[in-house]
Amino acid sequence: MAAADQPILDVRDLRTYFFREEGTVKAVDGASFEVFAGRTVGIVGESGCGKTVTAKSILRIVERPGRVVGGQIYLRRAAHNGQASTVDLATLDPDGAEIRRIRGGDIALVFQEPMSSISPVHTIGNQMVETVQLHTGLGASAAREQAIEMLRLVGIPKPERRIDEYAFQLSGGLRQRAMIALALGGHPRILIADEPTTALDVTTQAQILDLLRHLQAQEQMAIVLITHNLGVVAEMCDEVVVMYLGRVVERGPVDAIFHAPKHPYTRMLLRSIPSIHAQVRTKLPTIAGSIPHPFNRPRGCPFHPRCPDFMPGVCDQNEPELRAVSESQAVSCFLYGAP
Amino acid sequence: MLAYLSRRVVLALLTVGAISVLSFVIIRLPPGDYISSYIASVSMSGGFVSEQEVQVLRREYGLDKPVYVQYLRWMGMVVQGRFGVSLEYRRPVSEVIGDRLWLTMVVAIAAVVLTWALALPIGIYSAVRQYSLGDYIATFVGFIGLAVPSFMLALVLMYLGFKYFNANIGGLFSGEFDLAPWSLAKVWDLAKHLPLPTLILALAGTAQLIRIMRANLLDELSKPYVVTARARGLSERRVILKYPVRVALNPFASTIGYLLPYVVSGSIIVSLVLGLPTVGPLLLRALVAQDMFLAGTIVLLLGVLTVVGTFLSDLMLLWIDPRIRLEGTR
Repeated sequence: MAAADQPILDVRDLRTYFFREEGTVKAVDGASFEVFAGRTVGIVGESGCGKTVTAKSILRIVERPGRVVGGQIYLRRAAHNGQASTVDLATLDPDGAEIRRIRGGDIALVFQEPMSSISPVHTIGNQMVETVQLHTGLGASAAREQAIEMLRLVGIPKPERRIDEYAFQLSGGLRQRAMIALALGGHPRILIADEPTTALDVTTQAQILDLLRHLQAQEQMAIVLITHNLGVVAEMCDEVVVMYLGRVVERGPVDAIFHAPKHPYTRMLLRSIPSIHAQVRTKLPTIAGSIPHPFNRPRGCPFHPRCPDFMPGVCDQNEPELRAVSESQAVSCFLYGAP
Repeated sequence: MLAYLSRRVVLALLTVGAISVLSFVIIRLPPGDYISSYIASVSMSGGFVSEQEVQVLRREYGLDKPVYVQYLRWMGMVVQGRFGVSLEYRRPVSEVIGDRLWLTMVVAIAAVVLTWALALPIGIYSAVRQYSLGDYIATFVGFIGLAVPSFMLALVLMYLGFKYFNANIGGLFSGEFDLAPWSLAKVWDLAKHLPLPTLILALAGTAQLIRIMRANLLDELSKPYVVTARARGLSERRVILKYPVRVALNPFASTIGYLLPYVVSGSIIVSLVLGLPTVGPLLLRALVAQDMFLAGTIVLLLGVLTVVGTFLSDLMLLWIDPRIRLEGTR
């Protein structure tokens, strides 16, 4: 099947800027990656490197003063006549009907804070039925049946009772399950999960990740997993995209990223994972410095002030581009090709 | 839930008791009493009150008894539903207030409805389109509305109305209807006089409410549940109105506590300026004349209404906010 080789979501050179009075913040500045059906892409990076804005940009729900200013977001959808069609989300009117059908219907979003991501004054059922009705056109009672099914699917016990409860009546794990059920209401083909396990304890984390894998197998969903937890990435992802200051600095299959990382930033991220084999009482290696302030982004490669392999005269003068270093791996670094 | 409610009722009753003592004490605070201010006003108009007459009056109204006896006698009457006799009008207090009470309520309820009808949409617009031209205009007008005292506004509007439209906009009735018995024509006359006082009374509150609604909503607009609602594909209008506006409205339920006494007393100064036959000016006059039963009854009424209003707003919050309603039931 030829369609399987093609990505269902193809993000190319995405740029999302925030136009503030103090200056322009280039939150996402040329991010490119692909998402395939039934597979999981991990987007990793430190806080503030543009992961969440990338997710919001895909759905075109970036808040003012932010705006998608460049790039393409190609979504392949099965048209009614069986022919696949491609639509560029970056060109759609963010308030239009078409992007609204895609939100929740084709691409759904799960947030990291399940408590505040569900309305505090509406029952879970109220919001679920709303989503189901919006995307399926079912009647109220049929939509409620389906919502209960969804809650059962994500492993919430006694769903016919839980559906009339409020978010604050559920435990943290159940809340995140409800959040996922809410996202699945429109049977999306792509699920963007923004730090889905960050607010949960380790046992619950594992359960939620299991659930995501289970749902992926069942619904043939693609998952975009945004996280800064490399352990989660190793466990869940097929491909990895490493972002730094709004750019993709490296991407490739999960094995290549973990066993043959190319970009110095990726290497340093991997080195800062605590290991069970490490010598006791040794300090965990960290990445020196912190992310530069977005208003004065460094010239040249954005990582060069913190980079151990910094080449004066090269890295601070030229901007590297994402280049293939193998069939599946690409990196933006002058170590693998002079400018 | 039941324990909560009964605790609130008991507390409310205690508060009302405390208010009754306080209002009596406050009314008795200024030196002298009704009789001395009566003597003053009579002698100012050239008359004379004999010492004997004073004694008779004092005894008649019970003013020769100690303060706590006066209070207990008054409370004894209040419990039986009688509020004493207005010393100045020489009619039962309930009658004196009754005439004006419902007129006050008509004006005040109209003002409150207008305030909300104006302020909530404008506040929502201001928050959703923050820093837009419309927001700046609303903010500007809002601050002007906050800064200009409403009696000033009333004076200006009266002047303009008199000068350019040759209309006397004071009062709630035209002269010929003032003392006339109720008829359709009189109601129509009231309807014609109502808009201006309503508008003046509403504007000050509107400005304030716009600011509160805008601030409340701005707090909510960036919450994750709004982003999630948007990400589920809801239309922007639905996202805003169903979720953040609903949450931002919750605090308004607690303003009902202050609304009720306002509805009854109205704005005293504006009512005076506009010559409205409402309870506000009556209270002022009763205080000046030291008409203790009348003033005491009005102050007590306002206090009770505040307590009742607070209780009602608690009930309303219970009803609309599941976080409070279901507290501790998990």
